Amino acid sequence: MRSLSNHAVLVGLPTEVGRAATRVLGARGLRVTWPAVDADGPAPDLFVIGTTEPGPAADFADTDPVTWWAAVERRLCTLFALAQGAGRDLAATGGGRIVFVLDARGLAGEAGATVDATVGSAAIALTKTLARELGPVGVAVNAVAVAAPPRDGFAEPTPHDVAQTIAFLGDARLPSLTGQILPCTGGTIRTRA
Amino acid sequence: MSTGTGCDAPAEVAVVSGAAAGIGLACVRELRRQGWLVAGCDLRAGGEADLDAVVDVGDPAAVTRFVARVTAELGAPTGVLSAAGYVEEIPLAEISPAAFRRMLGVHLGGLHNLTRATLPTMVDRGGGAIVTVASELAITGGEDAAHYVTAKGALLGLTRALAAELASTGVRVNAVAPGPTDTAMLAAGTIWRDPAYLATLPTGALVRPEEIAITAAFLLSGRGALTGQVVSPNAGTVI
Repeated sequence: MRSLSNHAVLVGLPTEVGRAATRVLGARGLRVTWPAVDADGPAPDLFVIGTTEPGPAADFADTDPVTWWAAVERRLCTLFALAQGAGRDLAATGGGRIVFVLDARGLAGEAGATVDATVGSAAIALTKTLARELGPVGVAVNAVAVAAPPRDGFAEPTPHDVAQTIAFLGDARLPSLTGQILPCTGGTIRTRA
Repeated sequence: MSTGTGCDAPAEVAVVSGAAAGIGLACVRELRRQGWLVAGCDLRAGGEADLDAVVDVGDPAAVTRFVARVTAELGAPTGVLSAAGYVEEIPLAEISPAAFRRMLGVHLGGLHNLTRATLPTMVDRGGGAIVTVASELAITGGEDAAHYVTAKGALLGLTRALAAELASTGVRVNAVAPGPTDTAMLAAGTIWRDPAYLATLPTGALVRPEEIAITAAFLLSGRGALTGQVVSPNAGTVI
């Protein structure tokens, strides 16, 4: 593991989560670049990549296949490009961490949300595969699963809760924590294991 | 809700079982570093907690007495870390009923007893956290330790059930499922320390007990509002 630059780059996050993550990571002494248009400064050792742009939501039977395919393809191609870029940068500089923020419906599914669930599941598979592929070069890859449907009796996580979970998964003191999906759902969706 | 950050508020109290060695001891050190008052219990004497006691966590009455003593001397616990455990490598056909009962009694019984002794106060206070130390083997299974795997798997079921049942109370329940961790439980000369085995791990190294302690402390802190989750720092053994 190389010496830490303590530079985090956040990309693709919902505005409130990005703001909260900037605060939480900044309070831990990290330099945070968000929105990541031009990330100058030292080479980052933490990338936080969001994949949770919502929708379109519709019953699957009523979904236009062209619209469905376009939404899935656009979101997955964006994720692919961001993940590949982050992985290359971290591998080239000797290691670091990637945290994906993905849709918890990729774990449990939800009626009327086949796009979100499909993209979420793909992001889970990518997280696990990148963890295996990049582990030997010192890159840990994990994900926080968010946006579970609310349910009575369960508190809905705030953007600050999500940010704290991101910061945990981004902790450089945890090299053995890789390939894991951590639901931040208030307990409605619990770890599938 | 527990913060464990110290500040001007009175320190919160955590109970750690299996506190005298290995992962439990690492958790005691990390929690104290983060400002918790820690009460440790173990079958063995010793430890580095603010209060250490010899307790068999499989004995409900002994656990109740221990928690009463902790409450009197340090304050009511708002954090519970159930780390007491042991492993035996025995083929299924050779596991005696007594060995099976003991394994279940320490792991699952230990969590059950600690929870029963501490939960009413945490519910009354509107918050708290319970963290149990399971194992990657609870997720994948493994050879020659069916009673250990069963007991650790049972921990995950109880963790998730408690999390769902307690979601509205502010008490959070989560598990840490370590992979092969660099403690005395992994004996010298076993496969776990064989360089050829380590080379198969995506990270190439055993988990350090300090990583489990950081993870457990995060879950005890309440940060992230997580409940019902299983966090597995496992060096890539289970992905």
